[in-house]
Amino acid sequence: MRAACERFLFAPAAPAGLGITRALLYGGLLALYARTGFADYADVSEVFRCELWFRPPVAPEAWLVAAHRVWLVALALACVGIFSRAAMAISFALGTYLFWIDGSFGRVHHNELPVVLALGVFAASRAGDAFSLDALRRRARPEPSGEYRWPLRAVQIALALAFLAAGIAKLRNGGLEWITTDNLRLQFLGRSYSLVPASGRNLLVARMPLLCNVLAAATVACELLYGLSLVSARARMILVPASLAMIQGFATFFGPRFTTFMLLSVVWLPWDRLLRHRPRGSGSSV
Amino acid sequence: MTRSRRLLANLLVLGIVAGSAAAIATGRELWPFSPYPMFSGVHRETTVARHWIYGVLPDGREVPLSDRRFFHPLRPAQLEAAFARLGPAERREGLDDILSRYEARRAAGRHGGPRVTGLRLYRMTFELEADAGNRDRPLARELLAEAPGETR
Repeated sequence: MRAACERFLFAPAAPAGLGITRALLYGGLLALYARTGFADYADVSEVFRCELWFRPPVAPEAWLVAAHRVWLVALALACVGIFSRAAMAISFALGTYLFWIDGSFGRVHHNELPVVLALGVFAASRAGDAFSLDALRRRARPEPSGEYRWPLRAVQIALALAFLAAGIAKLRNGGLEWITTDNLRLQFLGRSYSLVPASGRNLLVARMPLLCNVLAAATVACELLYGLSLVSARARMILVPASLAMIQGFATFFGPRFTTFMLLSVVWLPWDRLLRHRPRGSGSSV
Repeated sequence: MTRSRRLLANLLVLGIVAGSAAAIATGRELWPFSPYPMFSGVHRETTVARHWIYGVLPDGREVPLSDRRFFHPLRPAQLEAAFARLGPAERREGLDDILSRYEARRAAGRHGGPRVTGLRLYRMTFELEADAGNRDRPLARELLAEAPGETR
């Protein structure tokens, strides 16, 4: 068991896969959060803050503006891989603070939680050793190592546990009724009565009760089984695309956008296989 | 890979597993770990209750403020969750807060909403209909708070 865990986390991997994932992840976060108005929370009333085990103090507006800008610069540096270690550490520290502020008003934002964990993992990783300007400057070609495997595994585990939690919550709070009754159809309909209503596409699905039951069953199944992707390549081929379709379905028919879950799914790309099949002479790191 | 680096990696992975397991087991938000309870309740009723914010125009008419830009940086889901748990005095304080930011942002040209002299928070109850054609005809409309003005 212990040996299997060791292999799972630390089997040697080429550094390029982790490096490419780093570039995609930080570039994606930069694109997603470049225009987010974190600073506007500075003057929002404390009555809107929700119950958390710790609510970070909200800094003055000028500080939040500065924190956001520094964070974006750190994300950009981490994306291209200049001063990678420092850039990833700053990205983690400031990202955690900004997301925590954002998530302490009204209700917790579940979209950002796995990102915080991923930023923490990458801050402790050697993800800048390849596919980075740092690597170009050093002219180093690191050997395959467990260093380039475990960060991807850690983020995969975080994603799998998030999906598992969502599936368990549905069974715990709703039981099989969540799937077998009119529940999902009524939830689809209910979205149209929010102050800011859903797009209207939710009503198209709500017209087909059986489809709603099928979607509910598929959602719970995907969430509960997603963890199999950790141990089975075949399951991964089905469950990861299914989860992406599910998240896109949430956005299209329900409203909430779990875009960061989609972005984080880059950790599932089979870099070892993809890089092995590249044409000769295209280099392995950078 | 050195022993200390391996230990660090193991501790991080263990932390992720333990934090997630604790959130799942307790059903509590343990930021950044969560039991991810969104949409997990079962909807059995054919009615639905929602909190709507109306703007009071200078001529006294009311209009629902149904554009997410009006409430920035708070999102509609954040407002709904907050107003659902707040007491009367806090609702009034919250509305005051939204009103001042709404007008400041409108004056700065950051949204195109109408000028309002006040806000009213209602709990709206609707019969669910297949085409949602009754959005403007709630079964019940209960005034919860008003800003500026009396709290009910």
